Amino acid sequence: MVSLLVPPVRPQPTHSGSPVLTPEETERLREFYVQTGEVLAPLTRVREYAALEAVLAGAVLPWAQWAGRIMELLLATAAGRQYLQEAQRIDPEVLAMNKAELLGEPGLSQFLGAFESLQGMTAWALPKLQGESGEAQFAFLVQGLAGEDMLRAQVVLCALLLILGDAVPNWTAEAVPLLCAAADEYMTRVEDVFFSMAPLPAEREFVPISDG
Amino acid sequence: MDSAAYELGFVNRAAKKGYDDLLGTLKPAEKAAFDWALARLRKNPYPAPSDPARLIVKVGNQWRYRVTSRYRLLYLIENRRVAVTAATHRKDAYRNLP
Repeated sequence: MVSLLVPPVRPQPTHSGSPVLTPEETERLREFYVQTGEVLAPLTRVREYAALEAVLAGAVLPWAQWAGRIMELLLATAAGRQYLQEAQRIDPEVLAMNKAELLGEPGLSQFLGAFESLQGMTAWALPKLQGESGEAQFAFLVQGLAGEDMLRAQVVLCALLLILGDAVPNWTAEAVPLLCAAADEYMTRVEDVFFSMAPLPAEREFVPISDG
Repeated sequence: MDSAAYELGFVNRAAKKGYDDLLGTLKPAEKAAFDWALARLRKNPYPAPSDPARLIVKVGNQWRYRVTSRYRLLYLIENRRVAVTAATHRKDAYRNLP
């Protein structure tokens, strides 16, 4: 099951035009976004970290299963794959523009950093999941190592996007810094798994930095 | 503690160029954060009890320093030398894999 790379928000139309999805794909996406809103709404109302963890514990698995099914559907068609590609070009600064004051600092930086990191990971993995079996297997392996944190980061970012997009009622301001910090933390753990697998430079020639 | 306990540098010229190129794109506050990070590494490249959570973490064969919410430093510690292997935006964590 591919369950880790569903874009957390709808892609915006680009110069090349919006992807043309089939009626079934459009309906399944609509259902997915409705389910996401229903399941993740409690996250937008948490007031302390313990509550966030408790909600996450119950929300991650069902969300991942829906996300996996919609991901498989989209990867199977050219329009679906284009939709996923378009989703990777979403500018998180635009998403945060109207709520920058609400996000504050360090919340805004944490949100932007985590979102951009998720985009970077997806840009790496998406072509592999469409490519040769060996590459796909490697992508699955790495995702397996970072999978739980990756899922948690996606769920938390989705909850933040529900707030930023005014897509959920009755959210609380206290939830925002908690969600920003959690998204930052989970994506940092994901990055660390990837960093740990990166090869060291083959050429070594110590170049000192002078004092001052 | 000795204020310059470790010799600080880059693992190679490509790493230095990558750092210089990145710094050219940063805001003053972000550059200052890198300056502060390098000064810290020169003094002590290992995690300290007073550090924020996950500021410095061992990742595979190297260390990762969380410079800001968006930027990271990767480095090696060899004897009394700290050799920076990369200064990077966190979204680029995925670029060096097969």
